[in-house]
Amino acid sequence: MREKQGLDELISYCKQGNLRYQELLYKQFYGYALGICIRYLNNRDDALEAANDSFIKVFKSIGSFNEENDFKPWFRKILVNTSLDHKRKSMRFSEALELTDTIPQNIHTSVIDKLSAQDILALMKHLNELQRTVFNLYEIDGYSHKEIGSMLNIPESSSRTYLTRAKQALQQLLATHSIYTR
Amino acid sequence: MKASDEELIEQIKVVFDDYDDGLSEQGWADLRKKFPEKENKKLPIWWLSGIAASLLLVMGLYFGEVFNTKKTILQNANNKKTETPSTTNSDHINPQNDSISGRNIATVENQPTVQKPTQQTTPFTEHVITENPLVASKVTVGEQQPEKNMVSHVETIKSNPPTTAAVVDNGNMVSNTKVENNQVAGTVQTEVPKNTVEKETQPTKLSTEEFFNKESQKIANNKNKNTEKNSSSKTTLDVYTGTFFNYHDNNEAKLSAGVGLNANVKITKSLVFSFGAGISQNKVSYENKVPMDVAMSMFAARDNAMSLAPSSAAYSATATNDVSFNGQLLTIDLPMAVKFYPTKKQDFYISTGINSTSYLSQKYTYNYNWSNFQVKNGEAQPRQETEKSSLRGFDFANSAIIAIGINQNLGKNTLIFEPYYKPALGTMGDKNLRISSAGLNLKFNFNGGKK
Repeated sequence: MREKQGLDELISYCKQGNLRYQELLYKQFYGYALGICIRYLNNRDDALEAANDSFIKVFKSIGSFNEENDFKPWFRKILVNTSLDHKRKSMRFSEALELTDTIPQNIHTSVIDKLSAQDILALMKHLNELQRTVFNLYEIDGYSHKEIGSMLNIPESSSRTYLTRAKQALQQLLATHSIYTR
Repeated sequence: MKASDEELIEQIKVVFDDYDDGLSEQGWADLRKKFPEKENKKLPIWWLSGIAASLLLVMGLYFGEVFNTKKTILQNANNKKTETPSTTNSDHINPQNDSISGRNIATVENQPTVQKPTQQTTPFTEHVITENPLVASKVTVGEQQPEKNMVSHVETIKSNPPTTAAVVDNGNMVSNTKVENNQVAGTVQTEVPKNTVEKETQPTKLSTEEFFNKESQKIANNKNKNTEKNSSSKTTLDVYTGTFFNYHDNNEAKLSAGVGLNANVKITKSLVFSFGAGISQNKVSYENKVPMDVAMSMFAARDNAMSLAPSSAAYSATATNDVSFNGQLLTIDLPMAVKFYPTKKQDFYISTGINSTSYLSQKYTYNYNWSNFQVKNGEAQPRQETEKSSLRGFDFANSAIIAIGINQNLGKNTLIFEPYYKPALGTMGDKNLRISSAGLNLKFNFNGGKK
């Protein structure tokens, strides 16, 4: 409750254009923003650029933000959209990694628990750009296939396909990873 | 969905929910390159000064007008008093003039023969009519008093020199006073029978002239008195408004403002002692070198917050990295200064003195980040603590005053541009802030002791 009050106050100062509070907001949500952008862009510099662009959008449009709503979901949408814009700009939809091996049936959960951000990023790097994007949008950020279809300008069915492939690829990669880490 | 899928998704969510690589400072610096601070929307100091000057000018003109009006009223009242005897003088006139008609009201006509005095008296006539309705008063007397008074007028007319004749027509109208030519308004000519013959009007002319002379004399005297008053006035008052910057150590200077009233007491021709009182709002902002008292208060607040945490060991504050402090003081300033006018013209002065401060209200705000690094997903949280107090504290001579005043005459009053510097001699407020300031006062000086 107190945290919400603190955030509301911070936002109200940001609405006044107070630079000091903008900085505080930035530093408070820096990790959150970078965490989202890096999942999509898979590169720290690109992610930081997207995160900063998102913050600028926030500072410019925070006047329209209704403080009765949660800030994080609103900010998340901005971050995702900005990341996708950056991705579109660079158009680095690389070829999908050829996964010829069969998908392992069981991966020990302790392996997953130990996955660090770097590990996950390393795994995701092996995914096709579209697969990774769809996986992030659907599984992590909670968009529906319909929404993903319109965001990426692909059919809804394609979104499902990319998701399935992404999951298969991750399972396979995880299996490999667990072999190496065992 | 496989259990491992769910585990993986959960792990991704947890790991990336706060992906802080510890480079937020650098990130912020990058952002600031793209997102420069907006231009300060506050009005620039010159605009503020201009507005302040306009306000002072309006106030000055208003006060000046008030004083002038009072003076005019007083002057009129005096004139009326002095005129009363002139109307009653007629009582001394010979009451045995049979030639006077019994009519009570005079019709004043312009006689073509009355050329000379007319021209001479023209400049004064208007003044007499507007300020001292002599004719009206005489006529009123005539209306209310029967023949006797009328006689007195005629007697006056009789004694006039031959050059200006007052032709009095018997039987002519006598309703309300009918002044056909203001130029002879001072010469009241009364209707009398024609057989009373034209009378020489020299005495009337003389009396008119005398009256005018007296009036001009009075006006001149009044003016002289006023000028004497002004020049000899030892105390004057200043209303001032000032905009200034507070600065302290390496921190950003903050624009503040104040208004007040000063009294100036003349000690010698070139030396004036000035004292007064004013209210000003002082804003300070510390980003660097937070004063010891402030830091202690802030850390006490932070420690207090930490003690509320479930386990102090698990919490770590980073307040020292993200400290900022803002203070807002609404103060009563009590300046005492000596002004030295180096030139005879007294068009500028050099002033030095001390300023003491009392506090109407004090508000201090501390901002710092409070982070919890040991708990997963811990976020740096901005904390803000505020301290307020009112009507507390007095600091004697906490700053020096060094100023130069440039006088700009506005009629009798003076507009003064006074750039000044107030170096801190002591500290201010509960937190012992050491603040110096520099700014511009716009003063409107008007003469005191009008009564």
